[in-house]
Amino acid sequence: MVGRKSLDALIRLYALQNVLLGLLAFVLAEGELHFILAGLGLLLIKGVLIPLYLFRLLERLGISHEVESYLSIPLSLLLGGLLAGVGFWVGRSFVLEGARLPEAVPVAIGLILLGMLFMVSRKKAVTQVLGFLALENGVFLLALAETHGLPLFIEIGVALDAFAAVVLAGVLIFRIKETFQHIDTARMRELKG
Amino acid sequence: MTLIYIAFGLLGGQSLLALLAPAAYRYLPLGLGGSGLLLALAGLPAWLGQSSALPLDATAGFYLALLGALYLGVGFYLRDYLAHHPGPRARLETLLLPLFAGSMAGVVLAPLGYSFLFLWEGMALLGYLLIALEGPAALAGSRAFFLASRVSGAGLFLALLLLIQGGPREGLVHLVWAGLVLGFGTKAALFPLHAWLPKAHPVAMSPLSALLSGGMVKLGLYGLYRALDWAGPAPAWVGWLLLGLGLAGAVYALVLGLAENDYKGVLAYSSVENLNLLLAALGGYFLLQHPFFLLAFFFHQAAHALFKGLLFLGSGALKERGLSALGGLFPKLPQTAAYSLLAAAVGAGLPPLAGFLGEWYLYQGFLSVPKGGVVSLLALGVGVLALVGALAAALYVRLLGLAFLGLPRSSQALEVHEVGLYGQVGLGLLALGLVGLSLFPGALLAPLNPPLYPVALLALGLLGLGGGLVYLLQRKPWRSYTPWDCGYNQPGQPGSALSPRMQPNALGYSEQLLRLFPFVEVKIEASREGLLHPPTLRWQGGDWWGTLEALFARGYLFLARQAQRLQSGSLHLYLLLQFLALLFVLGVSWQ
Repeated sequence: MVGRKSLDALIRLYALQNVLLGLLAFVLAEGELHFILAGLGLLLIKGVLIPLYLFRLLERLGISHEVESYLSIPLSLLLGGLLAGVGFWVGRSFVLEGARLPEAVPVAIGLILLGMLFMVSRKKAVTQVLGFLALENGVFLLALAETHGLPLFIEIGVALDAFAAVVLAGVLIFRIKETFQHIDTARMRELKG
Repeated sequence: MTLIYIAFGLLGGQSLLALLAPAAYRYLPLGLGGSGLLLALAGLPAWLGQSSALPLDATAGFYLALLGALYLGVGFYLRDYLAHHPGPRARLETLLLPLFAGSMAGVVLAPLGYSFLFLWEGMALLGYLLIALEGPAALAGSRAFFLASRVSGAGLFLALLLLIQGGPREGLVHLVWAGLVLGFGTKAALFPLHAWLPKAHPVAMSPLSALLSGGMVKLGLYGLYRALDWAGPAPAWVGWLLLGLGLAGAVYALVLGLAENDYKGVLAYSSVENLNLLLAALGGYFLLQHPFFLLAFFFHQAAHALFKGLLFLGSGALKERGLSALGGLFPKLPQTAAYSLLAAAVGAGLPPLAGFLGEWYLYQGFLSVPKGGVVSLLALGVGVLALVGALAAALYVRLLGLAFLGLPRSSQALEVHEVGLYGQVGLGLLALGLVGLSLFPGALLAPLNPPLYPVALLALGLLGLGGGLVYLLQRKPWRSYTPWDCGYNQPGQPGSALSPRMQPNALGYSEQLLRLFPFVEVKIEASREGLLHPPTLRWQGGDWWGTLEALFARGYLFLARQAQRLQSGSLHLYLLLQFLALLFVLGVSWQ
């Protein structure tokens, strides 16, 4: 995700990430019903609904599908690699006793860090939403890896929350576009006390 | 415990009633006064040792009885007082006052824990709201109250959270006690932190002032005494600090009180004086564990709660409060004046009244310090006590003389009404308590095994002496002189009318005394209108709370402006800061 220049490709990558997460939930399910349901919800909401919504948003905004960044691609890749390394390095000490999938904890922390890097370094509002979603996936993965499954309601609630957040962000971005004729958050500097 | 539950039920019911019915204040004698009676009935046996079970141990019982007695009087008085307030405001006050009273009683009953902090903060917040209801005139006062309760909260949170976290550990004892002194000391008007009280208490409505000065500030003292249970024995510096600041603060407050023009302001300064004496007594107890200090501490608290409550309630009858505009109120307000006179006599420490006994125990405490070592220096406290006693007497003579005797100094002064029946019941109940306390101090102090002198006999003796004197004087017919007609107008002699301006005004009365003390500056300013017009007296000093507030505000704004540099307005910078914070936390928690 860090290395891509095209928004379309980013959204597709995000969808792929969600499908993989869903599959992971199935693998870990071991026949438990609520894991299967959570995985299904994940596939449906995050793997299908959110990407479709984002594509439609891009279409209606009518902006260039190019990612604008403060950092060049090689530098982004370098920093991303570094943060992933930090995640692996630090993550091992965050494994709780009896974690279900201890190997995934460093991955999850790396994903959270990468999501934040994405939010910090990219200029368009849409990319910030994508960064947030990646971060949220990291949190989900962490929960999946550390615990023996959160209660079903919480998992579905989280997934729906993410969807609601995306819808809200979409509406907001649309309004920003209407008001300012652009969605470049780097040019919005009035947010101060 | 059942009584306490019913008392809290009554308070809650009173608040609920204020929500439902417009004239709920009519039931305050039952809601507040009745619950006060129950609290006193529940507290006294616990204090006297007849029943002692946590959370109602002896100490809690004492304070519960003290608060209860105060609620009883104030509850009745409020019935008359709130009838003069516009409807919505009276309703709001009827809603908040029982909650305030309940939170005070709750503080006494709460164990060490979050519930204590919650009730303490609730009490401060409700007190602030009730003062702020006075409107724009009370702005500075309520702000001072609020800021002081923040300072108090800061100290308490530090100390109590450390205590809750697992008791006083080695090395933390001093920190804990510093927090306790700051937290409870601010509430109990410990000398340099007292400056909020003379600003906040006079602007509150009179029954509220009675609750604040009689009840709430005592809880600061309660906290410091209770802290012995929570944090173990206090380090020596706490005792010295309380003693030194307490004695200095008592003198300081009295001198400022002698310069003060506001009737209720004088009462507030007198509260600061009494609280600082009580803190000094507590400091003496911390240092020496001598029972005399404890006797003085408990007895004088009870006396002060009652007489200051009575005086503040009495001030509710006055519309004009500037002493330089008052005078000649005795015939207009006979009951209020008589009750105020009784309370002021107690406040001035006249034997055989209750105010004297507390000070007598304090004298005994200072005189019984062990010889040798630094501690023997404490005996010097006797001198300070003597000065305090004299100044307190001067303060009350000035206060009552200017307000109730002589000729009225302005036409507004006479626009007063004697309180109604309920108000008189309220005043009478507190006065009854005061007389009872004066005649039978042993009944209250029994758990401490006090050495008593036969107070009742002394009282009767003095009464007989006074009566005899009056009888002797009455036997001779009074003769009238009119040399210069100096002092009083002769009836039936027109043309010799005296002007009220021939009386000393509030500052003129105490000017000579004030000049003895370097921290108050009295100036005589010649009139600009020519030599024929009298010069005016002005004074300044003492009000450094305003300076402190301004300094605090400036420092806070400076810090805020520095922090504002971070706010460039860039979303990415904000996100970056959050990102760095996350990395920092990861780095710190990584092992």
